[in-house]
Amino acid sequence: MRPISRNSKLLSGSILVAFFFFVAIISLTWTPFKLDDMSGGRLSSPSWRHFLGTDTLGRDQLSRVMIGARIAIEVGFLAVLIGILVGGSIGIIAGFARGKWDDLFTSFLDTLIAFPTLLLAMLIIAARGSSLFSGILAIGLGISSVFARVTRLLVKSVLSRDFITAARVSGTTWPRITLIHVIPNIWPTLLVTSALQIGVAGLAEASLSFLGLGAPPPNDSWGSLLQQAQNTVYSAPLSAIVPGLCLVLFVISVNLLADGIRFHFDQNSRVAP
Amino acid sequence: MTTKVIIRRKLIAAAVAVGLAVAVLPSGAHAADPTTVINVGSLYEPQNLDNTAGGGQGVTEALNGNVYEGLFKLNDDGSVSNLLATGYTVSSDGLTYTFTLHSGVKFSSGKSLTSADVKFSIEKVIAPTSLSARKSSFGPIASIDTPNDTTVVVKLSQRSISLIYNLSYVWIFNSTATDFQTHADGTGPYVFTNWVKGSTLTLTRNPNYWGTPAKNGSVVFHYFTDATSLNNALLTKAVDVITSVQSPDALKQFASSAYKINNGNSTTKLLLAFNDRVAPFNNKLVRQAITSAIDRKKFLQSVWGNYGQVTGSMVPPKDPWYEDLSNVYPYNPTAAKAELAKAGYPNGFTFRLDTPTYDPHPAAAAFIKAQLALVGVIVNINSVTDDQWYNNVYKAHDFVATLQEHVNDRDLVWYGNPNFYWGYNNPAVTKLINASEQVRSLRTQTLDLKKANELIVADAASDWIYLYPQIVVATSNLSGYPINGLNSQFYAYGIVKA
Amino acid sequence: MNKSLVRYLIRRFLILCATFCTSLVAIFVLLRLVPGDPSDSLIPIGATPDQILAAKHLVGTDKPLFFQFTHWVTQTASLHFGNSLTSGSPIAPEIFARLQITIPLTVSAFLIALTLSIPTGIIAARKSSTWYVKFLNYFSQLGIAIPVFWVGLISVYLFALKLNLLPAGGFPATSWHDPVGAIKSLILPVLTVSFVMGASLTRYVKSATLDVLNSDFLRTSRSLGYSFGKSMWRHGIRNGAAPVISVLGIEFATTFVGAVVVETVFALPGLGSLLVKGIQEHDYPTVQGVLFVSTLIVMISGFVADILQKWLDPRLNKYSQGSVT
Repeated sequence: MRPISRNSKLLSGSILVAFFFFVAIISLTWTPFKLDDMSGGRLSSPSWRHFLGTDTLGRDQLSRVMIGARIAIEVGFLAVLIGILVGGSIGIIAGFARGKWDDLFTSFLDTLIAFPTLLLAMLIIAARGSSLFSGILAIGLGISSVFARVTRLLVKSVLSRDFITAARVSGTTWPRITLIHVIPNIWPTLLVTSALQIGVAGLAEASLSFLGLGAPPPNDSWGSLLQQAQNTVYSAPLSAIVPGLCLVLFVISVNLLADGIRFHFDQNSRVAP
Repeated sequence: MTTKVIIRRKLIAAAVAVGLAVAVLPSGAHAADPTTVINVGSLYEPQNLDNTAGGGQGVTEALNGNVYEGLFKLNDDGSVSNLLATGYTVSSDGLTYTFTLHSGVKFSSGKSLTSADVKFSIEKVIAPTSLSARKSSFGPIASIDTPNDTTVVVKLSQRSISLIYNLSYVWIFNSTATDFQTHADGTGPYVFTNWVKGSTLTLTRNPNYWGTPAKNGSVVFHYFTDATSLNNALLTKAVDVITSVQSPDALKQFASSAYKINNGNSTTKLLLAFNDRVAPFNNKLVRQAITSAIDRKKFLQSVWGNYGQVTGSMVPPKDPWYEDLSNVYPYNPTAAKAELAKAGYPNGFTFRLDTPTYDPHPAAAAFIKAQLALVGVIVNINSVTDDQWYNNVYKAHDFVATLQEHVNDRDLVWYGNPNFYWGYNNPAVTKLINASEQVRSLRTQTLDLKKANELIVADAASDWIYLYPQIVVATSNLSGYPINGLNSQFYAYGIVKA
Repeated sequence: MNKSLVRYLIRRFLILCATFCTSLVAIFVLLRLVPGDPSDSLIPIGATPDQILAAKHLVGTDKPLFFQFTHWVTQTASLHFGNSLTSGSPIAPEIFARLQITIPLTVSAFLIALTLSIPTGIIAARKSSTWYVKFLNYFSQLGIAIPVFWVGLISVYLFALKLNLLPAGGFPATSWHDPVGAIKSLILPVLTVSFVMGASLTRYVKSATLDVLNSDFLRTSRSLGYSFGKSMWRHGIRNGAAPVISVLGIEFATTFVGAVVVETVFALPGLGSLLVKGIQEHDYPTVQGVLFVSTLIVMISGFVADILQKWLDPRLNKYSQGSVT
């Protein structure tokens, strides 16, 4: 394993993600202005008081962008958590499957993948109403198909190794094998996948917001801010550029983090990632 | 014994002239060009082609007056004039209306228009299977007779002063046709040609039209689901006109001389509707207080800039009984606090606001929340989808307060129905509204409904936040398009490209 | 093709059919579990209670669920998708019309993305720090981080509004009878989708290439005297392609209906917008019809990907050694 100081991607990725985390946590208790504060004047330009200007209702844009960071972290981490729990479990079971059960599971996974996340999101919103959690649930379930597929391949790869045969021969039960051998071998790759999917979740939420299915206020994500800014992009271009840049930067940072983690664990690699 | 009601034969002629003039206004005399294609951009695609079977707002925009015509026509300035009817007479007791039809009118399929078609069409609206929004307004109709091909006799069970106006919404269908949802056979200046769902709807000029031919060769409606793509279409001249622009900031792109921005009158109101049946909004003082605590003018400014207006009531300027009641409960947070205390809520209260998810409702909810927080009232914003709003709020009345926009004109009469979703129940108002339909003159109707409106506003039955502007933007070489959005109709036959 | 492969294919095919049918039934049930009724979008404000009942009767939701189910089964079995509940027009021609936009869009974008991402991914995997390798790396990092609608909006702004080269959206009313117009309308959407898809595929190709470069097969092959190129071809591609192919199958499939965001930005009447509209209006037959087609396509692409993988590396029937990220 490489020393972390030589792993530039891990370093830069972690710093950036930590920055977003930091902003998100601060926004829980403090933002330059409260969301209810509409005193800023309509679409005012950036000033010392309102660093990024104000929106059409007079609310401080910087505060809204900070809250967007919190939403991005919430969506990313919670959706991935759901993905790992649901998808990972299915994947582990599918990984152990043999013969016709294996084919069955593969087909089942294909069906899951075929089910468009958008459709899932609309059905969930129709059932439980439009809220932040509806979006997270939909994205999480959509991502779980990726985790299921990845986990299944990983499990199969581990199970094909000699030490598994050795463990079985010496009488270890399957659950114990899962715990001692399978999980320790698959968690690094799953970690990388998780980091990547955090970015995917953020982008998916932005698309949902663009279609009008995103979280309603006060949980405006960067995607919602982008969608609302479409009208004001000519009078206040910053209102469209800043949330977009934040989203792009956020996704790039989690991707850097993912690459860095993979590089860290990839003992065979003699080539730069 | 019938009395010839002089219902302004002359006034009707004048109205028609004014209507035509308004429709043709800036252009002067341009000859009809059979090759011009007018491309119209809109966000409102029809669901199907039948306005009695749920066609929606979009079908009115595309087909009303263009493909289908009624006995009467609602003009862009709000007046009603003859169309397929050459005139009518009313009996002295007001219960028998006799309409005379134009002769020689043909549907685009070639079939001649007869009174049987009119009878069929009116019955289609009042049939048990009808999904028309106008069905209940024709309740007084008792029978329809067709003594000959050009005469229709409608007998009412009670007077109905709005009958003529209501009839302007009844499309005259071909009684021998079978499929009205996917086909449209009308008497109008255009023939329905093609509908590519999700994309375009094409109308071509009717060469056998009985009246003045359309001034252009065809009209193509282009449908978008997203306001930005719609604006881009106008910017790239893929469309020539947008039927209603959704935000004032987008107008900046059209500020050059290549475009013309028209600020017309709409009939769409944004309402903060209280559930007048349940606490705390069953208390008039509370409703009054909330109304005084919200700065409607400021909110209108933030959404629409210098466009739109605060009317203070459900009545838009194009309704005959309009008056400006925006100062009955002006913005006054101190008074609001006092009224809340008097009503028994000195420390305010909390309520749930059911908010639709599309613009401008979320912004309105956020604004209202911020404003009411200043007087101690906490608002919990509950976002609802269209379905949920329809089932929970409209049908089940399971709400405390909600935001909603209402598109129709002349919908003040809903306040006379205690079973309407907001549950406003004032017997004096109900009596006034019912009586206003049975008066003998339009003037009396106007006076009655004005009085009713004043009572409704005084009761603060709802908070009418603002009236939407109707902003039609077109390329500057286009003329002859309607600029007022009356129930989303869009007469295309006068449009000319210079 | 040997006998075991044929047997495998047949078995897979049967299971495919079974899962396909199960998913259709699941969709049927799921749609009806969600609150809301197709008649809701037909009823105007101000409707009376009997009008509400009339609307339900019109769309058929007042009939018992079992009746609706058997009706749907018989309809679908004869590949007749019925009529839309809100527009009354037949669904099959509508889907067919929409496919004429979605299929060219997805296939072209896919092919372009593939053509660009394979060489890009392989080059990006090399260790060299020349400017173009660095640039490719940064560019692909950016490509997977931008939301697709942003790419669309920017391309509209540049090519349609500023340079006036291409239409900002829409599709000709006469569809492919106006081939020039149709192609012009599809250029920007295709470029948008292929940019995002390409960036994502580049990452997979690069990672697969890295695995291959680090793998034993390649070292063995090189030590046996084969040149880099030949080694790559004989062993690299075969081993590295497997995970890439499975990803390709998924990407192709999800873009089909997932292109609705692109369809919204460019006002294209594609399959995705039909699905969204159908869901919003609870137009069950339309949603079921679209999902029938899209699930079919996904399953077929998954099947094809499977066959390709098997053909490339018969050892891959049980265990995979490829990288999965």
